[in-house]
Amino acid sequence: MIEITDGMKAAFNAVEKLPNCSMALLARALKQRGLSTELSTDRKNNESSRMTFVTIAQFLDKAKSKKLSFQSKMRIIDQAIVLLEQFYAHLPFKRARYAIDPVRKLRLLEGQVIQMQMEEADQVDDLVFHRQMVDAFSELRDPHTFYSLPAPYAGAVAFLPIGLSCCFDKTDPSNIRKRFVVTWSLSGFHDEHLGHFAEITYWNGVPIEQAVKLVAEKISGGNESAKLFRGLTLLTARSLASTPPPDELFVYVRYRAYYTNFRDDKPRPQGSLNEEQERVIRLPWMVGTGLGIEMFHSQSASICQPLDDVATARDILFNGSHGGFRTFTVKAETLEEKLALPQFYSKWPDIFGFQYSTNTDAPNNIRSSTLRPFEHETNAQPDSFGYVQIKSFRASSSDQIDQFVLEFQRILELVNPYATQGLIVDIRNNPGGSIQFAERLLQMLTPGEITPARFHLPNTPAIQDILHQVHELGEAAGGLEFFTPWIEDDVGAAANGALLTSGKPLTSFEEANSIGQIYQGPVALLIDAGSYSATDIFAGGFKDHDIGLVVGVDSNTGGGGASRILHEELAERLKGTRNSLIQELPNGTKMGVALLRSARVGPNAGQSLEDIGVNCDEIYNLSLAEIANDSFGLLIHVCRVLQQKPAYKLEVTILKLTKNSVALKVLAENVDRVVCSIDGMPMVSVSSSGTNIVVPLEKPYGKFTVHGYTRQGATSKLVVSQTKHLKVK
Amino acid sequence: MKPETMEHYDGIDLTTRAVESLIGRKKELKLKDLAVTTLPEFLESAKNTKLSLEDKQIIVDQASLLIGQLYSHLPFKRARYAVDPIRRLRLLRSEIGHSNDDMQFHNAMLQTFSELRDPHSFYALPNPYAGSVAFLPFFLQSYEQDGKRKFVVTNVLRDFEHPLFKPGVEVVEWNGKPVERAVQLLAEKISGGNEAAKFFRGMMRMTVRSLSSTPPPDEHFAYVGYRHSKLLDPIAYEVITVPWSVGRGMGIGFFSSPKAGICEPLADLAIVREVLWGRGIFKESADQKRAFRVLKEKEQIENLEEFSRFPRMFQFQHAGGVDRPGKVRSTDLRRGSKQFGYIQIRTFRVSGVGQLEAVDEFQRILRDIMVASAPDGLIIDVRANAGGDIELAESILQMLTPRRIRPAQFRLPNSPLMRQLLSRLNSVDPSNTLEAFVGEDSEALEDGAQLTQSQTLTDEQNHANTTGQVYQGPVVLLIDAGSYSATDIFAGGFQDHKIGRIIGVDPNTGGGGASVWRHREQFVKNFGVSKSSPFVTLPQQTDLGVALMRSERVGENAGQFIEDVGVKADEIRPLTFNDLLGQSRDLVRYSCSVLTKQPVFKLEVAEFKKTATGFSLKLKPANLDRIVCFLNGNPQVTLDGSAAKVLIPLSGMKGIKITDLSVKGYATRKQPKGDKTLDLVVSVVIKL
Repeated sequence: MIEITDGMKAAFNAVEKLPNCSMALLARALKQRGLSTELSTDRKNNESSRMTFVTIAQFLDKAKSKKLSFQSKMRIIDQAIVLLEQFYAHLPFKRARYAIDPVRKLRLLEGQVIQMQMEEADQVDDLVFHRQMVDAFSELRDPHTFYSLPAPYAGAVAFLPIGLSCCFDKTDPSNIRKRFVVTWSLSGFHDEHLGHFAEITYWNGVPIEQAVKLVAEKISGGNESAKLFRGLTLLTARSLASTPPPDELFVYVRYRAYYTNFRDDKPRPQGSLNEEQERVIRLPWMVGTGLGIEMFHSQSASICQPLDDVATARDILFNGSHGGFRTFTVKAETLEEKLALPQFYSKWPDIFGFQYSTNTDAPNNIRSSTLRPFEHETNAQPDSFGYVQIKSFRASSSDQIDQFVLEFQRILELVNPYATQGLIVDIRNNPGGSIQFAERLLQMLTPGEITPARFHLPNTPAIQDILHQVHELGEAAGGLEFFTPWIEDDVGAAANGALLTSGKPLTSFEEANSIGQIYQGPVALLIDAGSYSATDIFAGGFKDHDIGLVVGVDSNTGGGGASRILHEELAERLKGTRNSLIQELPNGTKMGVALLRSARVGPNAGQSLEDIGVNCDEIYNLSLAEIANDSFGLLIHVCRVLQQKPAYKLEVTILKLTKNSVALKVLAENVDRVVCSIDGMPMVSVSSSGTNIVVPLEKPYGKFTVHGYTRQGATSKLVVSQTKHLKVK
Repeated sequence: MKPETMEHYDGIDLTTRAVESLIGRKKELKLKDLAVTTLPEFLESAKNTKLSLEDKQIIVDQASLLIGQLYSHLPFKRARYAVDPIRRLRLLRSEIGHSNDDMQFHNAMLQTFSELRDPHSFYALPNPYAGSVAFLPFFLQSYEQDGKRKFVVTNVLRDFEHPLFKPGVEVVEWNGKPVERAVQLLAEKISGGNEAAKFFRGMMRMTVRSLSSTPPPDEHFAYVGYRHSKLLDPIAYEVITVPWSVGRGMGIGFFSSPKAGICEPLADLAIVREVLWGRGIFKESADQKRAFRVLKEKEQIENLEEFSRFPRMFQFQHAGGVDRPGKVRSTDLRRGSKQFGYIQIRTFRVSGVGQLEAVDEFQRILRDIMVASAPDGLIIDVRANAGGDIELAESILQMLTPRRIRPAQFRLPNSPLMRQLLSRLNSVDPSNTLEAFVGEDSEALEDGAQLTQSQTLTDEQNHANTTGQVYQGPVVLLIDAGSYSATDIFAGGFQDHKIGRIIGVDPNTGGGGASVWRHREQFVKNFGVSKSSPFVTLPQQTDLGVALMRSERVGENAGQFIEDVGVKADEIRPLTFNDLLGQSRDLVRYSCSVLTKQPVFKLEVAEFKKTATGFSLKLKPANLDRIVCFLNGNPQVTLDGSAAKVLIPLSGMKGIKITDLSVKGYATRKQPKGDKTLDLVVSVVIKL
């Protein structure tokens, strides 16, 4: 006979403790979004933006309203149809892939609204209408394209006091079993048995794996991995802005309270429980508001907003309670303290994290020993690997992008000398952000030139009309300038009847190649199905330029191959144009649409990322112990792979720079030929390193690149490069 | 925030005991193959039966053929629900190879069909799903109180002896969700063309689910939050955990008839309810136990005054009847001196019973019992009647009205394959229901219309109007959203011929306006699986069904469809707690009060003699203003409404063989504008 514990009290005790530290957390959340902390002081005085927590039933009850007038509903539906029909690049593809007709669905909803109006039926709760809108959008399985509810739903996050991860029980290699374990819990949440790493078996009576699938079906991703990933997130935390509130008020969680020994990864029963004994706890869905979640705006944005929202909420609510035991040797708890330790932390700890094999261990960072995996192996050379995590590509302005790009460069330069055998770039769980930001980082990891991804507009009458107006206006295009790259499609694409216009890059070739290679060793990329959008594009570029091995804990990235535009951004751009179909959205509702569909480059040129994502070269199933300990097994495995790869090195020292020439010294390893070029023009080619080289200059400035080639059979391959910007004083 | 206290009871052992007791009584139940397992055991064992890749391809291809070419609702469903089943099947076809999980395939097929929101058109799973039923150890039903929906346990399995969780307790929470939301979510997953029908079907499946054509429950056990009378705190409730079980050998299976209109899953559920409850597996309430003894089936059939010859089809009661468990109470059918009757038509499914026998039995009940015992009005109850034989349904209508019955019209999809099949039918097998569609409208088939011209399925002369009116008093019809298909058509006919008021516990009937053809039983049987046939034998026990003929209403609503919308009730009277736990008590009493307000017309032919010059009749009329006598449909004599005898001359009909004689009574009725009209209110038909 199974007893049920009521987790209600424990859960609310936990959230009651939160507001004590809320202001600091809120300030931090704002800061990481590039908002000034002064704003947060304003907020401190503003009663309405305080963090508050209520049960889902209380929240929904309070949120009940009948504010949406007939006209508002009609406007919302109309604008949704305009966005999907005229500005949605994936529409024909989604129609075909999922056998859906979202526009027809919206028309049906319009019919219902009209009927209700004519029958003068008693108006129902606005949420019913919102739900129908969300349903119509969620069929597209495209988090870029969404309908967002107004306050109080916007900015609200529903959550359970725990969060789950999926891992694999690898103790018996012939029977690898999926396990769902608790890896997050509210810091103040205490239950006798339900602690970290308890294995969940049933969720409201449904086998847990099936439960994850069911929730994913409703608000799903475009592929199986993405579904599982998002399902797992949605199971315990949901942004109420663009996903429907959970139907449950409570969840009956059935679990085994294992204690797991992380050395051998063998589960052991906890306390007096025997191994098979299961327990049930009832946990309440709670809703938090005032967590500082705001919609991300940007030119050429690409982000999975719901994932990002939940991540932010988790940062605040679960701060420090996400699984794992770490050795704390440096105490740096606050942001300010962290910023003072640039060799341990990035200046933007919410964007980057890094570690290398000889670094000191610090809290909230992976252990440096993980990057020295072969210490104990007798004939191993000294281990030297590096690790860089890119947590988000969120950037609110082009200045910020520049700063972030520079910070990445700083980190690589810092890590470079200590990570000669290889570098691991981790973009797991990165929900995306700015595409330029993502694409500008690639160059620093590879000797070759980066070709940015291409983006296509839908070839619809509205887009044609806009391009036509851009053509007429020429230089004076104003807000329409955004569309200038596609100006030739004004005539071309209209005539050929294609679904999309031609593809143009969002990141200029110059920007994508201005810095050149910084890290010269072999690189591996870690992805999961939470690597979405701008991160998909980053992973695509990584693969298309053959930068290194892509290792996935899921089989592919999330599959968001587009640049999103918010309805209000579109309205701003189209202000003052003729026949604009875009009209203001009423009642604080918002919409976003995937305006630009991305296409890959290189050997996969033209291929789309949407729904499919980037496939990994190798899949790695994480065990529970690995999840608890920064994926150490995965990192060790990747280090092993990197160790097999040849490492190249090229060190360029400018000896003398005059108006007519530059003299330099090149030190290279594993390189057969060195070529120096200026602004892409090869000037000097020498056979080996160590000698002094003099390169003539035609002008007193330019981008100076030294390329190292190695012979492979009959051809030679570019393996390393270094770029310097010359300017004669 | 105060913590809520939670009392919890683990009902797993109790369920095991109740299920053991159920199996122990399988002889008594005449179900020798009855077997029950837990849901996880069932799902595990189901993994052993696999469809091959080719099997799956055949299923998807045949489904595409049926939906693409032979589905009369296709263009309407596309428009109404923004669905594209053909495209979906094509996607599924391309993905079959990706997964080895058969359940995933079955679910994708089920979803494709359920998106059509048309229970006529279905995919039936192979063994072990076919014939299996998942159930919880209790029944849940809903009623309305002060405009709010309430949910109540109406029965628990025998030997599920819980001190508090028993019939009458209110259920408030279901797996962490408010129970109403849980029903809605379930309803979303299964077919139903309108809100009421969706809710009804969701409700029916909360605790019993046929696995033949609906997916198994996701949850292995349910956490049920309920309130019992001992709880004083108005928001407190207790929780019980109950596991899902799966039963086999409950005697369910597909119904086949060339003119079928039935919701199979609902009909299956009705049988299962019968097994679990009707034949005594569920506990009778203490009240019933004290008062009555359950009759054996044989006894029921011999006692024709109290029971129908076909008790699974008809059940009846009247003001002077004997009270029996499960029957409407006779006292509820009496209002002052007025006496009313009640007939429940539980199904139009005629398996094991001839269609003509069934018509005769209904006539017997009216003629031998109701005419005398229920002179002041009759309640016909077709709630939860999932349909069956359309001809049977339409043949019954005439007995309740003086009017001539015009059967519903049906149309076929006008597709290339349909045209092919029709032309082949012409040359091969003329004794087919499709015969009526062959020939005359071959030109219409070419005109690009979505559907062919319409035909009736029931012969107007030889079926729909053979007996004429039998019961002359006022009639009301009770419907709910479970009145489906043949029953929709019955209700439509009832309304279109103005037989009486329709009282709905839901706003409308289920909305199944079609005749269904099954892949195995109809298409393959009629057209074979030879090289020249587009049909291929379906693998294992899988089957497909498709709404081949779309129905249209007649009379004032001529041309209107029933599909999705159903027949609207004239008034809505939601179920009450008393209805659920007291044999529809409030509903029956209310119906009687409606009948009380209606005039009773009567015309009896007391004596009938053939003379040399014509026919001599003695009449007993009541409340009539005019009487007209017809020979072979020709009006021969008109009389005053109170005439006691008449001589019908053969004038003008000499030498013609007289086959039927009818006497029709008319009454003046005030129209809303003040005009008076003479309406046909009663008729007597004498076959010669």
